[in-house]
Amino acid sequence: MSGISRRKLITTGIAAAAGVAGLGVADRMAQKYGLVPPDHGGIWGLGETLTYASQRMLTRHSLAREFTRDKISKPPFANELAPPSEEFKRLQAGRFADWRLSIDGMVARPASFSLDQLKSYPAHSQITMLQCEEGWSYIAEWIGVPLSQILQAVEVHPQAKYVVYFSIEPDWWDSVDMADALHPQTFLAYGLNGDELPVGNGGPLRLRVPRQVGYKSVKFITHMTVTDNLKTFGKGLGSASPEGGYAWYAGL
Amino acid sequence: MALASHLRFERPSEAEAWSYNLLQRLAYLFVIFVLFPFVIWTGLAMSPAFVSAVPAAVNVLGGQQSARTLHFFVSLALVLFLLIHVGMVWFAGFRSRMRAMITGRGASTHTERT
Repeated sequence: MSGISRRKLITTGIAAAAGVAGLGVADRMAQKYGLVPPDHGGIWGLGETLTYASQRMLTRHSLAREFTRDKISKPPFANELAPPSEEFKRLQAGRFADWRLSIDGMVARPASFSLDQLKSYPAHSQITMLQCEEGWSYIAEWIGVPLSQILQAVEVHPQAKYVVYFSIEPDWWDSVDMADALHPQTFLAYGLNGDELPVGNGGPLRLRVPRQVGYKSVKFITHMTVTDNLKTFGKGLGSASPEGGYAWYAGL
Repeated sequence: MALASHLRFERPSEAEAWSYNLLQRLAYLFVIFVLFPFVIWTGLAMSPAFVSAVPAAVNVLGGQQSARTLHFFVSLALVLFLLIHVGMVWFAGFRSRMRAMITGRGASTHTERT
C-alpha cells in the first residue's frame, strides 16, 4: 500500500460507482426517448449510438437544405441499372400501371397503392441534394407525396416506432424512425425534374429521405411495414446496410 | 532565430531540446487550433442532417463538395503532421520521449522544469 492512500481509494470507488450509475440512467433515458439505433452493438455501436442520439436531439424537426431551380444538376446522375428480374421487366413493359406499394404492420387499414392512386394525393416537390457515401452528389427536383400523408391514410398506430421499406430487388430494404418517416420532406417520389422518375434514378417509385445519405433513399419501393421492433427483420440491425458494414442512421 | 538555426540544420543542445522552440510551438498551435477544428467543421458540413439544422456550416464553405475537398486536404495535412511528429520523437530518442509522455517526467539526467 505504498502510493495509494485510503482517501484516494474511497474517492476513486465513489467516482466509479457514480459513473456506473450515471451510465445506467443515461441508458434508461436513451431507451425512453428513442435515442438508441438498432445497430448499437459491436465495435462501432457506441459511435453509432452517440451519433444517432446527438442528431436526434439536435435535428428532429430541421429541414434539409432546399435550392433554387438554377442549381439543379444537369443531367441528374443516374447510377442505377434496371432490376434484372422478369417481374420488373413485365411491370416496365406495362408502363408500371400494375406497380403496387403495399403497406401493412401496425396500421389500422393495411392498403395497396397504385402509382395513379399515389398521384391522386396533392403533389409536393422539393429541390434537394442527393449525396452518396461514395462521394458524388446531385441536386434535383423530387416530386411525390409526403410519406406522412400515406401513413395518415392507413392510420398508423401511436406505438409505431419504425417504417421498414422494401425494394423490388431482393435483399434491398431499409428502415427509418418515425421522426424521419413523418418528416415533411420524406417523400414517396415518383417524379424528377418535372418528369417521370427515370428507372436509372430509382423509378417508378423511390423513397426520398433527404436528411440522410443516398443509400437510405431505397429505389423501386414495393412494400412497407410499420413496426415497433426491428429485431424480426433480417439480422435485426434495422436494415440491409448495417449487415454490409454501413450505418443504419445515415444522417452522419 | 529558431528559424535561422533550423535552416542551418543546427542540432539543438541537450538543454534546448527539452523545451519546444518557436517553430514547434507554432506548428502545434496551428494543428490544435486550426487544423483540428477545421477538419471537424468540414466533416460536419458533409452531414446532411447536421447542415439541415445549421445550413451556414456548409454554405460559407461553398457547398458540400467544397467541404469534401477541404476535408480531404486538411486530413492530409494532419497525417503529414503525424508522420513528422512521430519522426521527430524517434530522432530525439524514442524511449526517453515516450517515458516522458507517460510519466510526465524527463530523463533522469534532466532537472525537472516547473
